Amino acid sequence: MLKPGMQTSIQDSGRTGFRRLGVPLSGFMDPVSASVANWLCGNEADAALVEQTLHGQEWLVETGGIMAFCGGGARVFAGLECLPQGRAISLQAGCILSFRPDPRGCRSYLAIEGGVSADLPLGSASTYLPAGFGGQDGRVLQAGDTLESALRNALPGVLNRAVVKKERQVSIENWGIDLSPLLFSDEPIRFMRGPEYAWFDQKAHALFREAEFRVSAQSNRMGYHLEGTSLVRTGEVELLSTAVTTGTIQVTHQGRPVILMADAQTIGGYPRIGQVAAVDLPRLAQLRPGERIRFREISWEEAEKLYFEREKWMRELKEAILLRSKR
Amino acid sequence: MDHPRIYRLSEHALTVELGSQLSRETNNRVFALQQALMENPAEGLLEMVPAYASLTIYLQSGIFQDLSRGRTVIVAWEQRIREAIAQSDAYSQWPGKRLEVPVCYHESLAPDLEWVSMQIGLSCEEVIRVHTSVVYRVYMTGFVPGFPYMGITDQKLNIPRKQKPALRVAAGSVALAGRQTGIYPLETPGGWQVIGRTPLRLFNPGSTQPFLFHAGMEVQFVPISLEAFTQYHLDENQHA
Repeated sequence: MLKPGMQTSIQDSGRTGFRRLGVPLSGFMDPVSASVANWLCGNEADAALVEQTLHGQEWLVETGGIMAFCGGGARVFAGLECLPQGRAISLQAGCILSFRPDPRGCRSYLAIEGGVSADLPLGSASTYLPAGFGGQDGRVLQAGDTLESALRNALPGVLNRAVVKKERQVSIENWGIDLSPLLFSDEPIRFMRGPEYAWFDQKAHALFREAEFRVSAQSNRMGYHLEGTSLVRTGEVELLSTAVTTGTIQVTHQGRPVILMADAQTIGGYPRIGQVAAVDLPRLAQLRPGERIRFREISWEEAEKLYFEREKWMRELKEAILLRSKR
Repeated sequence: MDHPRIYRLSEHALTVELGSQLSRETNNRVFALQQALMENPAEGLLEMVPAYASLTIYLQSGIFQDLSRGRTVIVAWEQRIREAIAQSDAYSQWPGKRLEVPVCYHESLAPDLEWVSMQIGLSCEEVIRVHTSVVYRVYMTGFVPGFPYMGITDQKLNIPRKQKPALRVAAGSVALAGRQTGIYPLETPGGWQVIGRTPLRLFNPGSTQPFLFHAGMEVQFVPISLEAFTQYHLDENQHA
């Protein structure tokens, strides 16, 4: 790594089995972009890769191989050449990759064939910054760090060697996956009613559905703090602390909504007005501080249906990538 | 409100709320339910998060579409949960190991002790005496890795959270909020009132035993001097 960028860390699909002890799930903020980047490199969806917030990373390729990047917030250049998103790309040693600003999106994923090698404390490579463990010594990546391929996670017999052309520094696969319609739409973020929805009055409900909020500058992997209208509660009852998860919309005592993200705390004590539909979490992860956000209510039945459809679509996408890569 | 109340937390998580008050009895039932579900692990169960009065069940994504067979996830699981609640009456005791936790209440490590003492009208010595006179139970662990939520504190120590959370609370800080007492495992922001600090390390991800506290434990705080606290830290660092 030549330059670290704003906040760059190693992540995988997250750490399960320890939430009862307070260890958050962590992992990819935008699992769709991350999974696709991994599949394009011939990895399983959950392989460790590099997640960057916004832009600024720079890498020197020391050993050639296949990589892919997906997501938003950055355009990737190899020298003067702008590399396309969502493609398998073969790079030779000596290439310099730089992640320059892109006004659209917030999180980009750089996957390498075999997955990124990292420690697996409590069973996952995901970096959890507040407690300083996972990934690269529990911290963000710094200039001078080296990424190595774990040479595992590979899907059997998949890797497309055809893309590699020895005579060129950069060879780009002639097909790819465009995730931008899914990641960058202006549609409202869909939510379902949370367990304490009834603790808010009709005025607060209407405001929540109709008002426009802004993602505050304090937002990070733990949560998005929203600025704008205050959501006033009807009573003074305190919630007995209970489980919260990625996508949970809590409302603080000042009436400010906070959406919990990948590093969500495991237990919370603020009333939960809603839960973001899981299918909209990748889009949410691509919103950057200062961007506007609106909400639209859907039923839990609708949310489950959308979730099943998304899972089916992801399975089909994986199959399609594998089929094409084998040719 | 009727209990148990079963609600969706997300598309692949359900919460069973067994009460809305902080009580040992309800918390016992949470663990009994967890035990019952662990002994008959159902397909698709990923992990469970017990809290004061609720149990949250995380399901594996990708598997329950087939399990629910056209029904919603909550309908598919509700019956199973109700059966487990019925069975779980058999486990009324939650076995708890007792742990002595040294705490230094010296003013240099207790930024809010004096304020708490003024607010509740007890001397600092009295606050320490009352805080160490009760054996607490760890009702749950969570928020950040290894944070023990303990209670129930003496009514005299009932103190609200800070209006504005402190930006940095030191690792090991022993604190009060309402009728709860807890210990911060890491340096994090925090809204609880800090009255002391333990030299013990609560969370060590590199260790074979990463967590000092587990739900169900009984905890006795033992006051130690600043010298003992400092010595403890030195010894710890030598072992590390």
